[in-house]
Amino acid sequence: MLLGNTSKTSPMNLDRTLYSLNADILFFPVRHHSPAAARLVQQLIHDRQPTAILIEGPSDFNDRLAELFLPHELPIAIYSYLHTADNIRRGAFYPFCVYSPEWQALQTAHALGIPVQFIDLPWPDRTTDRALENCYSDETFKRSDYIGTLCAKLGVADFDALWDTLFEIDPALTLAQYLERCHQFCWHLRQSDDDISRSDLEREAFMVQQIERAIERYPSPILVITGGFHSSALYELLYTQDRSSFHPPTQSAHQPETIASGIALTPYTYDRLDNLTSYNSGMPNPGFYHAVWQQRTTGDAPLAPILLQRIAQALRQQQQIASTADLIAVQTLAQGLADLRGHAEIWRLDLIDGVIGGLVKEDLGQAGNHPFLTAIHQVFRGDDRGQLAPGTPLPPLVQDLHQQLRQLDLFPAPSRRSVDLTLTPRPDADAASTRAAFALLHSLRILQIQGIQRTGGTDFITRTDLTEIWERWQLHWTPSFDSSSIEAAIYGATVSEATIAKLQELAQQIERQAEQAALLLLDAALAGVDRLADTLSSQLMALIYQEGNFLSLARSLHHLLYLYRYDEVLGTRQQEHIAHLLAAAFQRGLWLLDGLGTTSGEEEPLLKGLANLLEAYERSEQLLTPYRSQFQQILERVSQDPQQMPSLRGGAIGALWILGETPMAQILAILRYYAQPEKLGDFLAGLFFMARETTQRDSHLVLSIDELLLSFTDDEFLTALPALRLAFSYFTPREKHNIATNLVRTTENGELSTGDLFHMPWGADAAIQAIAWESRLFALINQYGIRGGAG
Amino acid sequence: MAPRAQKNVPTPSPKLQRPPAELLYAEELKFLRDRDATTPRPASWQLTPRSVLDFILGNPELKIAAKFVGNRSLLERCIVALATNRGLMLIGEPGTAKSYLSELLAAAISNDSTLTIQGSAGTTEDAMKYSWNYALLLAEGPTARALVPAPLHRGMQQGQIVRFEEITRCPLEMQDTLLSILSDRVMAIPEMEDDGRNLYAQMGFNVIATANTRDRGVNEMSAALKRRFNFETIPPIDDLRQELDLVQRQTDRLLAEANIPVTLPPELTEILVTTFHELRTGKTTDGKALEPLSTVMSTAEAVSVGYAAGIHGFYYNDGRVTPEHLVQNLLGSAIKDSPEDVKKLQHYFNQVVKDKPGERWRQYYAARQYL
Repeated sequence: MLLGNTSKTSPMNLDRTLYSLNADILFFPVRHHSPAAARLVQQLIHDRQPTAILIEGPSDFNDRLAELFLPHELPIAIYSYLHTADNIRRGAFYPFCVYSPEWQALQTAHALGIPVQFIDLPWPDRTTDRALENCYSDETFKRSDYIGTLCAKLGVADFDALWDTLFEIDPALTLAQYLERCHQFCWHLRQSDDDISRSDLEREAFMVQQIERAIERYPSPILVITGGFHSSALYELLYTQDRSSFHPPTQSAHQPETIASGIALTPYTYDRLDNLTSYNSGMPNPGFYHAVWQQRTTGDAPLAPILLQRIAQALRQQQQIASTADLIAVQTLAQGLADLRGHAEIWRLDLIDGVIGGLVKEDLGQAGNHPFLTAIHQVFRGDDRGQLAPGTPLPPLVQDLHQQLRQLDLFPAPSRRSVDLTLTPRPDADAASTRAAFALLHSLRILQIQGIQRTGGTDFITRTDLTEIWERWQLHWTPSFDSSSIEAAIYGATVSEATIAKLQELAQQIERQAEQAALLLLDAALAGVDRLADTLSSQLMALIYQEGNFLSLARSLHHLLYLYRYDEVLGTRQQEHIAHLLAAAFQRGLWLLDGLGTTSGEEEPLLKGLANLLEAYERSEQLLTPYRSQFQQILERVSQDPQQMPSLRGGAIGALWILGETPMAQILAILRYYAQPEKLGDFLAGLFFMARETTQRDSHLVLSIDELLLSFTDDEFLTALPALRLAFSYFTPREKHNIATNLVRTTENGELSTGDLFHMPWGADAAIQAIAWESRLFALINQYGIRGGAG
Repeated sequence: MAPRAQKNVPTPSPKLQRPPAELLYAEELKFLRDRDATTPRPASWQLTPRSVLDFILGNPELKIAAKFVGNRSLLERCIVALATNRGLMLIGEPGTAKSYLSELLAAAISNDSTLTIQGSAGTTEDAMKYSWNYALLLAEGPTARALVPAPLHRGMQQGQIVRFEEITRCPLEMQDTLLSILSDRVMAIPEMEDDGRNLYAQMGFNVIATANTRDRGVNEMSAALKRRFNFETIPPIDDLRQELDLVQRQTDRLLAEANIPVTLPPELTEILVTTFHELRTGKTTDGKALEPLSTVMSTAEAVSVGYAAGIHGFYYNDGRVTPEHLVQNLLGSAIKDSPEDVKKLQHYFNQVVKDKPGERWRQYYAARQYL
C-alpha cells in the first residue's frame, strides 16, 4: 500500500499509538460529511463506550446542545454570526446532514447517555476576515500538494475521487483500517502543507485546552472527533512537553467592537451544500452520499440500481426517454468501469461515466451540458430541505427580520394597514430610515414573505414618472407570514444575505436574457444590496454576454444607465459593479449591432435600441470612452450597409452626426443617395429619431430636403408622403413650426412669409368637407371589409 | 480492394513514411504484454484494460510515454465500451485526435490498427465486408479461397478491433450494414454453402468508428445504429499548459522534419495557444466572456499555424519568427472561409489582445492590420 510505504521511508514517522483502538484518548479523524466516517464513528462509540465525546464544533453552542436532539428534519446548520461596530455582518455555518460523522456521534452519544461537548474556538473569536464561512469545508484537505501527487499515482481526477477511493467505496473497510489509513493520510498531508494558518494553530491550541479539561473531569477513554487535518496536531500538542508550537488565541486589539453576535440553528438545503464553491466547498453530491448512507446502514439492495432508477425517473420527468436496453447498457458500462478502477461497488463517477458513454449520443459540446447529465446531477445533488423541529428557537433570519421590522415600526399586525413611503421630493421623516424601510420591504418581497405586499407607487421599470418617488405597502399578519419567513431561512441568516442568495437563485433560472438580468439588478438596488456577491455579479455578466437579441440588450442597457447615471434614491449612482455591467452591456450591444444583419420590421424598437446605445455613450462618456472608435466604426458600417433598412441607416448617420463624426457635407451627400421617393421618408425617420434636436438647428438639411421634394413629380411625392409624415411626426407641433419658419425664411424667392404658415388659404368649411368625405370613404371601405393593416 | 499491411509485418522499416502505432511502439507493447502474461482480461485482448490505459496515457514508473493528452475517465469509458457488446463511436471537432486515439486503442487491444475502413461517399459493402476473386470464383465456385476478406470480415474472423473512419461520410445504407454485425455479431455470406454461410464474430471483435461533428454530423445516423454504439465526445485539450507543450513539441517536430533549423519561440507558442484557447472556449484566461468562433480552433490547427509561421520566418525573415507571422498565418490556416469569423477575430484583437501585457503581445496587436 502506497501510504504504508511512504511512512516507512519517511524520517519522521507517525506515532502508531495515535490510531490504536485501545488508547486512552481516541482521536477519530473525519472528513466532514463522510458517510464512511459516520458509520465507523458510530461503531467506535458502541464498541468502546467512551466516557465523554468531544467534537469539533462551536463551543459557544455547548449550553444549547439539547436543541440538536429535537426531531429536526435534516439538513440543518448551526449558524454563528457577528455584527461589528464598522457595520459589517459576518457569519459562519456548521452544516449537518444525516450522514455527517459529527451528527451521528451526537445522536449516538445522546442515545447512550454519554456526555458530549463541542470543543472548537467560537467562531467570533477566530482570526479571520471572511464574510461567510463554511466551518465544515474541505479547505485544509484541498490545499496541499500531496493531494495532486497522490491523485496522479492512484489515477484519479481530484480530491473527491481520491477520498472515495481510499475511504468510501469499500464497504468492508474496518474501523481499524480506517483509523490507520486516515491518520496516515492526514498526517502526510499536513507534513506537506506549508500554509497552515494562524487561525488553525489557535483553534488547535484551544481544542487541546478543552481536551485537557475533559481529561481532568472524565476517566478514559475519551473520544475526540475532529477534522483529520487536526488529529495528529492535537495528539502531538497533548503528549509533548514542548509547547513551542502552542499558539493560544490572543485577543487582538485592532478588531472592531462587536455590536451583536449570536448562534442558532437554521434550516439548510442540499442545494446550498452542493453549490458551495472555492474555500467554502465541502463534499459534493449530498444526494448521492445520502443514498450511500441509507443503503449501508439498512443493508438494502445494491446502490447502483436504486440510483439508476432515480435517474431514469428524473429523465422521464424531463421528457427524456431512456429505454430499458439503454439502462442495461449504462449499468454494464458502469460495472465495467468500476472493475477497471478497482471499485468494490459501482460508484459516483462510474454512474456518471456510464450515462455519458451509454446514453449520450450527441456532441457534448464545449460546456459539456446535456439533459442526461443534468438529470444525474439533480439526483446526486438531492432535494432535501431541512426543517427545524417545533420548539426550536427561531432561526437567525427570522430574528433578524423581526428585529429590523420592529425597529422601523413595520411589523405586520393581524389587521391590515397601509404604509406610504416617500423618498422624493421630500422624504417622510428622516431619509435614512425611509430608505431602510424601503429596502427592507423590497427584500421581503423578493424573499416572498407572505403578508408584505406592494400595492402602488413609482414604477421603476418603465420610469414614466419620477417626479415623486413613493410607494404604498400593505402589511398584514397571517400565520403564513411566520411560516414563509421560517422557510426563507434556508437562504441565509440575515435579510441581506438571504436576499442575495435568493437573487442568485433567480439569476440561475434565467437563460440568456440581459433584460431580466438588469431587472434583477434593479431588484437588488431596490432591496438596498449595495455590494453584489461575486457569483451574482458574474451571473449577471454572463447573462449579458449570452444575450443574442439586440433589442433585449438595448433595454437592459437602458435600465443599467438609469441605475448608473440617473438614480437619485437607490444609491446606485456611479457604483463600480454597475459600471462594469454597463460597460459590458455597451460592448455587447456594439457587438450585436455589428452583427445585426438584414432586418425587417421592428424599425422603431431598433431605432430605440440604437438611441439607447447613443444615450449610454453620451451620458457615461468617461466610462465608455475606450469604445469610441469602435462605436464609430460600427455606426459607419451600419450606415454604409446597402442591405440595411433605410431607417436604421438614417439612425446610424444621426448618431454619427451627434458624435461629431460626420460633416454636414457628407450627410447631404447621403441624403441625395436616398432621394428615391420610397426610401426618403424612412431614412429621414431614422435620422430625425436620433438627431431630433440637431436637425432643427441646421437649416442646410431642411433646405436640401425641400429641394429634393420640389424635384419630385406628383406621383413620386405621393409615394414618399406616408413615410415623410411618419418622419416628421417625431417632432412636436412647436418644433414643426420652428422647422417651417426656418424653411420659409431661407427660401430664396421670398414667395412665402412666416405669416402664411398660420393663414391657410382654405377656410374651416373645406376642412370639414374633407373630414366628412374621408369618413364616408372609410365607412365604405369597412363595409366591404377591405381595409388593410391594423384598421 | 488493395491488400493491407499484414498483421505480422517483420521490423519497422526506416523508410516507412508513417509506421502504424503497433510498429512504432512495438517495444512498449511487448513489454506490457509480457507484464500482463496471465492476468485475466477480455477474451482475445492482447493487453489488460489497465495496460491499455498505461499504454495510451503513459506511465512514468514503467517509462511509458504519454501518447494522448486527455481526460482519464474518458479513456476508461472508451476501453470499457470496447469490452462490452457495443461499438465505440468517437465524435468531436476536426483535429481533436479521434483517429489517432482509435489507432492507439486498436494497436493496444489487437496489436493491429490496420483493419480500417475509410468512410466516404463511395464506400461500398465490398470495401467493408468482403468481395470475390473472380478468377477463382469462376474456377472453384464460392469457396473460402475465392473470398477476399475486407476489414469487417477479418476483424470478426480473428477477433480484432475494426476501425471505421469518418463513418458519417458514408451513405446511410452503407452505415446500416453494421446493424446486424453489431447486434447479432454475425455476417451472412449468402453465396457460401452450409458452414460458410454465416461468419460468427470471434471474441475480441468490436468496432471503433469516428465522426466529426462539423461535416454531416451524427444527427442523420439512424437511431438503430446509434443505439449500438457508445458515444464519446473527444473535447479539445482543456488544459492550457498541456496544449502549450503539445503544440510546441509538434510544431518543432514538423519544422525539423522539413529540415528547417528554427523552432517556434516559446513566447510565440504561448501567444498562439492562448489565442486558440480563448477563441475556442469563448473565455479569456482572466475569465471574461468572448464570442467563440464558428471555425474549429483545434490544437491541430494551432500546430499548422505555428508550422506555417516557422516556415514563413525562416524563408522570408532571416530565420526570425515574429508575432506578425502568426497573425498572417492565422487567416490562411485557421480561419478559412467565414467573413463573420474574421470580424470576430478583429473584435478579439481590439478587445482582448490590446490589453495583454508584454512586448510580444504588443507586437501581436500591432500586426492586426493583416486581418
